[in-house]
Amino acid sequence: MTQTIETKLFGSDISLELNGAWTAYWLFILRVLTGWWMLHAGLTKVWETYVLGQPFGAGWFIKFAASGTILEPVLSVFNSPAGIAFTNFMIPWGELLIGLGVLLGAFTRLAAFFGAFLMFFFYFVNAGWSHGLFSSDLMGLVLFVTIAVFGAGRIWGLDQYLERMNFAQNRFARLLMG
Amino acid sequence: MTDETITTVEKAVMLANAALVVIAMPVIGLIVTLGGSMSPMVSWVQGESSGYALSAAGIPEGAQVAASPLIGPNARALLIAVALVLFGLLAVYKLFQPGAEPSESVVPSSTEN
Repeated sequence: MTQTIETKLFGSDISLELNGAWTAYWLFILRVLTGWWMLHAGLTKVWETYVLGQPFGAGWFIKFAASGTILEPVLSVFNSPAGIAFTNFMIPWGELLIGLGVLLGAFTRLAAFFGAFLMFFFYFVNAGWSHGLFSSDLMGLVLFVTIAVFGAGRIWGLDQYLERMNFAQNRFARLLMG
Repeated sequence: MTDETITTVEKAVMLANAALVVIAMPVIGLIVTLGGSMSPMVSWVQGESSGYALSAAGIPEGAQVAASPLIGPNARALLIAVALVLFGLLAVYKLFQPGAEPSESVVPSSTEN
């Protein structure tokens, strides 16, 4: 069913016609693709580290990749054995949890927020802008923000069940979900 | 139509975010492209090899600058970074902002009796 969304944006009347079924369906596709992309990235790093015995190493990212970028001062804070160990732990497990949350639609906005947070660092440190400033890292970030803005976890996702539970009956918990 | 409340803080961030993104991406992007640089980065050549760097200081020793953008990539990146940080801070603000419960209330089954 096509629905007309009417709102005001900085004084302008906005009328947007959305087909509910197609909107919900496409948000689901977006969530599955983005969720699997991040879950795969995390799962392979965790698997290689803990099963295959090939530990994930983010040392190059902190020591060398950030050189000359606007985030060099931020990443220099982590340029120590403890900082690199922390990053080596957080990136694989963070990616895995973000991917799981987005793919399953569980605490979707929380997962998408941290997905965007992670992509923020990848975008500015990888700085793969030779063919344009809108790189694949920024596209990933935009996907996470889109999922968070739309709250896509309710569409065939666990959030539609989680938000009915007692612990979710408050504003704080609801905002972390889809 | 459900009730929509956009606070002044949200409006300010939406405006700032949109302005920064528009300036950093299409506006400066067009200036850079029409200024003769097909890449947002500094492109260099050295014999048969070529590549890109964030600034002229980042090109390999002995390499020559092939094209340099009128506005460097880090300046544009800074504008994008400010826009994204503002957006992230807004998300955190909305989380802790005192206000009404979400408009769509969900009653837990255990409290229906």
